[in-house]
Order: sequence, then structure tokens, then C-alpha cells
Amino acid sequence: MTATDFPALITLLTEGGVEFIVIGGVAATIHGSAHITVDLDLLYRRSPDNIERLATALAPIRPYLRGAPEGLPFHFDTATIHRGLNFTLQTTLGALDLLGEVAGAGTYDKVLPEAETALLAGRPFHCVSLRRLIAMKRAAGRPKDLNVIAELEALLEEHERDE
Amino acid sequence: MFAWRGHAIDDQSSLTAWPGSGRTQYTTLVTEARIVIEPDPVIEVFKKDIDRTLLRANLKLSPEERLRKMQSAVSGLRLLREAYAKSRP
Repeated sequence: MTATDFPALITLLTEGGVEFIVIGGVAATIHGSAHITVDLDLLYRRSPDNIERLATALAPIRPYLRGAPEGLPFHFDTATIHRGLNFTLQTTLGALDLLGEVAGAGTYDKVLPEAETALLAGRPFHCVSLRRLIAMKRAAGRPKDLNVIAELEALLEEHERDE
Repeated sequence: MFAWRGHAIDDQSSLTAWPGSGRTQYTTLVTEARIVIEPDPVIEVFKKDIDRTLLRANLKLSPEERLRKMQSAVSGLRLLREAYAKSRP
């Protein structure tokens, strides 16, 4: 299994005009976390136009259901995205989780107003705010996240100390 | 079970930037309902073991540099894993 190429995945989607917000471990990294993650979690907009752009942008990297047996009649096209909501995918650029809605945050449209903007190779993309990311992790309620939440809250304290 | 506390919302509007980077190119104007993170006693215990020197080092980087640094670590770990697998009889 290939190591996930986070910059390449983000660049592919921004170049394809896909509306998304980086969440999860990569968002934590962008905010300064020292943890390492293996997949890219994105909150994507569920509009028909964006679903079309998402399917088109990802087609070259052959998305397939992560962990599923080979040979299933799975095609990550607009019809599949419309029928589903959240997808855990393996691509030729690595592991990609696409979420239409997430606990502690809701949809893309709800999270966007408070999202922050970062640049990757000069191209802007959205990243969930640190406070929202902490709220998401708390809402998930997973024991494995306790150390991550503690680190994110420490980062929030560091940010506020610098302000 | 852990006593997770919820988060409250107030309706402050604020100008936020990428803290720590000190680079205006990452500044963005955001009108947000600020999420208030209430202290959680369980999280506070975990927080005592956080190595803040690593965080402060990361905060000196831009968001893009943080991402590329993590990418480099992921790729390095993969190489180590593959080398270990090949070395086993």
C-alpha cells in the first residue's frame, strides 16, 4: 500500500476546483501538531456541481473502497457519491476519507464560515479551525483521540499565549 | 466512560490569522461564532505529558512547511518499514 501523498492529493483537488475543507489529522498537522497521520480526511460540499468536480478530479487516481475485496463493481462516479455520504477510499496517491457530514461540525456549508485558508504551492485551500477541530475530536468521543485532543488544546494555549 | 464536555458557542466576531506563523499571507478574515472549549479534567491530565517543545518548533513553520515536514516523516517511516520487512528471513 502506498504512503499517502498529502500535498499531491490536496493539489489535485484544488486544481479540479473541488470545494473541500481539510479536517482530521492533516488539519492537526497544519495547525502545528507533532502527530503523524496516514490518511487525508476531507469534508466536501454536497452540491451537484461539486460532486461532479469531485468525481472528475479523482478519476485519474482510481478511488476504490479501502479494505474491500478486489473486483467489486465499485465506480466512484457522481451516482455513487449521490447515493452515499462518507467514503473511505484507497487511491494511487494514498488513503483518502471523504465526509459529507461529520459529528461535532455538520456539513461543509456549516464549517466553511469559520474555516481558515492556507496556501500549498501558492494555491489556497480551506482547513478547519483549531477550535472546530477540537470540538470534532471531542464529539467523536474515541479514547484513542485523548492524547490528540490534549495536544490540540495545548496548541490552542500556545496560540493564545502568542496573541 | 470519559466525561466529555460539550462546547458552547458565543457570537463574537473576530479577525483570525494563522497563529505562530507570523506570515500575513496566511491571514484570513473570518466572522465566526467562536467555539468555546471548556476545560475537561481528563484532557487536562493528558495535557501534562504533551511535549510543547515540538509544538513550538512546528509553530515557527508556515502551514505548508508543517504539512511537508509531516509528509517527509510519513515517507521516511514507510522506507524504514520496507527495509525492516526485507531484512527479515
